[in-house]
Amino acid sequence: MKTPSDNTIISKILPYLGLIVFGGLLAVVPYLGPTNHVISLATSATIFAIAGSGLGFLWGQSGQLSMAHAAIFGLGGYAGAICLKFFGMGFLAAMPIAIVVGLVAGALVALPSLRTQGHYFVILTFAVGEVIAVVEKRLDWLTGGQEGITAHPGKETLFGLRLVNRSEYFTLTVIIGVAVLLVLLFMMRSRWGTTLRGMRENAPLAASLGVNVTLNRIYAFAISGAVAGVAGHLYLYQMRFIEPNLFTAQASIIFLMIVLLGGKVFLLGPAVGSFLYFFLSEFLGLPPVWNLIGFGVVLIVMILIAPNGILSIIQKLFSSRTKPEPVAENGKSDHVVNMGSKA
Amino acid sequence: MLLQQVYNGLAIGSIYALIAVGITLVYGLSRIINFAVGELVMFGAFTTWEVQRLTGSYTLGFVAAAVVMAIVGTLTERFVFRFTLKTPLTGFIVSLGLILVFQGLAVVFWTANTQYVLPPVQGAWDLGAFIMIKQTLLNISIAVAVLLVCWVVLKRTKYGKALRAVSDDQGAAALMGIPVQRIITSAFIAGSVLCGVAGWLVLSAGSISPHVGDSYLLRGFAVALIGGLGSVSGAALAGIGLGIIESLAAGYVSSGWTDAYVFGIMIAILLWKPTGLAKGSEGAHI
Repeated sequence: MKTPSDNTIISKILPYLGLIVFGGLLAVVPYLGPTNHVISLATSATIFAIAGSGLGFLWGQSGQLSMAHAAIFGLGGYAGAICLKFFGMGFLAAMPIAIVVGLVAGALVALPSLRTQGHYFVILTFAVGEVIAVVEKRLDWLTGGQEGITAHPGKETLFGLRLVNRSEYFTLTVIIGVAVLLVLLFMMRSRWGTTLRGMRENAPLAASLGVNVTLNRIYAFAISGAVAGVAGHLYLYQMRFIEPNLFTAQASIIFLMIVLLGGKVFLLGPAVGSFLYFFLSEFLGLPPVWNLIGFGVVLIVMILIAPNGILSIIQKLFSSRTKPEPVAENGKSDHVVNMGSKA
Repeated sequence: MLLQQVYNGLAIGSIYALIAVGITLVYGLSRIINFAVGELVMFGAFTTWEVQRLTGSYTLGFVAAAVVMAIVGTLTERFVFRFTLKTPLTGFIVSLGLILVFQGLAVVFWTANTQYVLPPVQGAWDLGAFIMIKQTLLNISIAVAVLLVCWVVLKRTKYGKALRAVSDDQGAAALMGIPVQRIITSAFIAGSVLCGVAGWLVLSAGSISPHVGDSYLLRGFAVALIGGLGSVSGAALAGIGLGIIESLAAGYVSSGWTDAYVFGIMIAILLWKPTGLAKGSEGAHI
């Protein structure tokens, strides 16, 4: 995945294979005998990694930051919960609906970006998230209001994995997570991925070359929304209930931190960030309040000293050891290479 | 009923206006969106509460809130935001980190529970058409006085002139011998003090908690954006306007949905006029 200078089939396939092997290793972890608590933590970390990857794709590739991501994540969960409550639709049956809800919500969040830019747009997405939260709180007949909705997986199985079993649900989450990452990786390495990065670096220039910036931006938001929808649906069956307070602005800040911690331009950045977020706090064993303070400090320090995340530090260490650092014309060019699609 | 709602709206709106003017001042000079203002309001409220418990005086509490927030403003500017002046979006993300830190610290100091407080002034006048609560009248007067002081300082003093110059063009201002960095720091201090004063006003609601700033944060920004970021008079007017609309909507339609109205209005206005109603701008007209 380092430098695909030779365009052989192997170098094209290698990242995909790597992801699948990595996912396979992760998926068997529960059978090595960790405690239920660790498994449940790892499931949450995987789910947040998936949702974070959606935000990472949007932010790292197209350069748009959305603070409505937690709200869309929540909508995915609510879609599943409402399908279950009113129509008795199980996990698999409701999954496409959660995806479509996320997709549409993501595209709708993108619409204000046609009129507003920069700070105005980011704050607008915050407001959109708040409005969604109010609707979830007040539309009692549909969402159960403050109490939310409970959802039990029952006896449903998928790929022979029982949803009700914590270990098997973790494996299922990892499988879905790997599938999502494969799709995102494919998109990043496609022509479209290059287009998005072009828009990120210089939108007017991209437009002058015939790129439909508006439409592509909406597509990127829709993709990120769909990924959030999948993750939200997984989260519903992990928590087995859903309530509006899970998806406040604070949750959006957590997503932002996860993406930033790992590195927003790296495919695995959000996953690294998410596992660090969940397991570091567990490892340190601090009370939740001090965790929050600690992560606030981490967020501030990270963005100031390493705005491209932990993976960028590792990448730098690694590349300086193997060969002299290539002189980049600007600081951003090296992560374009890292995506492996500049050629 | 109508007069009553308008009056209540004025009282809430004056708090929004204070916060929004603070946001706009900081933005106008540094281009940084400081999302931690909600926590500054909360700290202002808790500082007042602590001082009032110790000394029994709300006046001392007011002074303490202003002084403490001035210190907080200085510290956050010097040790955090100064490093982000070149990339304002980084400043925004940093302020999100500050939210986690401040909110956590508040829970450590004062627990997550809601604290009930007596408003500084009690009682009300029944004017027939509507009931005028003494505390809210005091709030409105304080807000108007503070905003007037801001206006006079900005438009009629040498310092205000320097501030406007820095906001228009930092390079040219520096060439004219204006200490740009010091002016920016002073804007952070002024913004924080305004939030501290707003925190004092928030006490009149009768209860505070570490999350008290959350709703004021987004409303403050809604107001600042509707007014046009960087426009002080726009922020003041939009604050009062939004307060009145919110109060009327709560009175006549349904109080549970006020957040949705407020943010819905903000989204609609920004889609119609992307840089706000006043002669707003991503640039600056303080």
